Amino acid sequence: MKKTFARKEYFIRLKKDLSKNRVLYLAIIPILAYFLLFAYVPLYGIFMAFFDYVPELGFSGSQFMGFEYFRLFFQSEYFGRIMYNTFVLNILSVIFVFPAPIIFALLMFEIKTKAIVKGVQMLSYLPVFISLVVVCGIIVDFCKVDGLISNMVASITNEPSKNLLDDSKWYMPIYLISDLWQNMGFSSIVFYAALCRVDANLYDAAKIDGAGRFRQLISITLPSIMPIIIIMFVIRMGGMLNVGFEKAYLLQRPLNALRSEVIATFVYKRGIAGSNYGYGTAVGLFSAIVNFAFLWSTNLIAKKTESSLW
Amino acid sequence: MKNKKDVVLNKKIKSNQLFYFSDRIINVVLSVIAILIGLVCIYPVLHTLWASISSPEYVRANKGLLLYPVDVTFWGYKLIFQNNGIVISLLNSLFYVVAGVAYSMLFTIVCAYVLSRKLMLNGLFMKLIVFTMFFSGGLLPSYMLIRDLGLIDSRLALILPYAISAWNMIILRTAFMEVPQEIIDSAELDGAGNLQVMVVICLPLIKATVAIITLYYTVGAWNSWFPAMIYLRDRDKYPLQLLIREIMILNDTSKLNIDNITQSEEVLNNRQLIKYCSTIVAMMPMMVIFPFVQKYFQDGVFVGSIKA
Repeated sequence: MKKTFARKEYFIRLKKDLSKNRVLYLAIIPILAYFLLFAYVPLYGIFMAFFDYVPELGFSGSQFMGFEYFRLFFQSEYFGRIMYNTFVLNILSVIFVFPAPIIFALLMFEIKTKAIVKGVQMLSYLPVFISLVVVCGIIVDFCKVDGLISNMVASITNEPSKNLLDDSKWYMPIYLISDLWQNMGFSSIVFYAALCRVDANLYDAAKIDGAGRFRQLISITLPSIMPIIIIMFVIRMGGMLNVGFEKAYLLQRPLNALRSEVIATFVYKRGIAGSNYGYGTAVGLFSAIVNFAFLWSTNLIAKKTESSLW
Repeated sequence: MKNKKDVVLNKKIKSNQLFYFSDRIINVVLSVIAILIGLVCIYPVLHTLWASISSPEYVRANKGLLLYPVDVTFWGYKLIFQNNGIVISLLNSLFYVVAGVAYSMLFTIVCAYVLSRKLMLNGLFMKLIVFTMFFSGGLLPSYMLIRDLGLIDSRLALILPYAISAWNMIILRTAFMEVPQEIIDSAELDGAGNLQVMVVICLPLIKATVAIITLYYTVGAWNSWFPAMIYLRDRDKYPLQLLIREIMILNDTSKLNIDNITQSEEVLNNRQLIKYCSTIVAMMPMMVIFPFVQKYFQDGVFVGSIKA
């Protein structure tokens, strides 16, 4: 009795709200339509993973495959290599590329000469505006035989200059270092902003108590930005299987395929280039599920420290 | 250093003043490291820039670090603008950016404004939209959708699907929510409708955030190449970045010419120079905009760092 009464009351309130804010609700209809069409309809397409989907025949005409494509993928010769590449690249990225903006923000925070801070920050934001195509183009150009970076490497290793991208063992370092170069500055903005918001009185109090700079760093600065670091970390972990397609594809060459083939490029090759929609969707779905599992579990761990995504 | 006069007059020492000698040393060391990082960040861009305006012979022969342009000439740029491949794709990119950003900003601003108001269904709407940030059908279902809408090989395929980035919308929504309710109330008392409140009252107050979101969309639209690669078939619709990919990564300058078949001798001999020049053309608009919006970053992006 109470429940139905409460529900009726809810709908009465809803009706009032709708009529009071008619314009707003009307305005958001096209926006909801947009999300419905371009975000939710493709979700329905996930079912392609379970069919040998032929577009002309639709779902009813396509043969039901069940988990066949998943089985095929797990048993394929590419599976080990793809999973290894995707995972290792991601883990290395979390170890090396994730902390870099934080350290850079700390560096900017500790330098007291404002002019240098502003100048270096401006220079560091620059690379993020360059398109991935141009960045990879520059990489291809600098790493070809007799290119800038190839020559530097050649002079260090005392070998003749060779095309670094044709050597699969260089793929991951090149990928990670160029990621670092492009994103470190811009990603550090979030952390720098958090650092600036730390109460200056805390530092003064610590100085009075005799804390040196290093002690201040450990006891005040780091704990203050821990919440934002944890949130960014959870978000980062949610992309564990997400080696972005664009960069991997742009840097990929036949000779470095051993290390450059990742889940996204595989999905593209099989799914779009090979028109095997069912298989491609199955692999993509698998990757999305694993991603979510990582996101969920990392958030669970983060919950224990009071700052989590939800 | 502190001197007797300051002590006697009890002058306040600013907290960031370099008081101790060890502080100064640390500052110098850190500054040197920072400057080195800054130089590394900018050097590839500088190298490409200098090379693009150096003489073709020098570029062909030179293998090492370029610290300054040699024999400044704009001949390389003349060469690439002669062939209409680059020019057409430049115009295409311009169209995609202008149309795309206008479309995106319209949708994003309206969405952010409505979601920042107190509506009963807003909680539901927010959950629906945030859900799309984490879950998507993936590459293939999106491709199928564009196919089924008949948008393959259409310019609209590069614009329509990208109306709202949920991330940007949330930043804008937070900014709208920070407009003091009193101002809105007094505006409504004066008879302002929702449109007036949004455009006349709120937007001017959150100019910095709007500028940054516009910048994000602009950079995204200018740099985008992958949707063009999978959805477009007609070369006349290609954006600039796709052409750059051909030139730089596939090492294919043959399509720059009008007849798409033969490479002129000039083009063949100066491929390196063409690469540098077209790279600069692809980067230039963003580099030009960048200093103007850089000042917004210290303030505006604060919002993004607050948990949405």
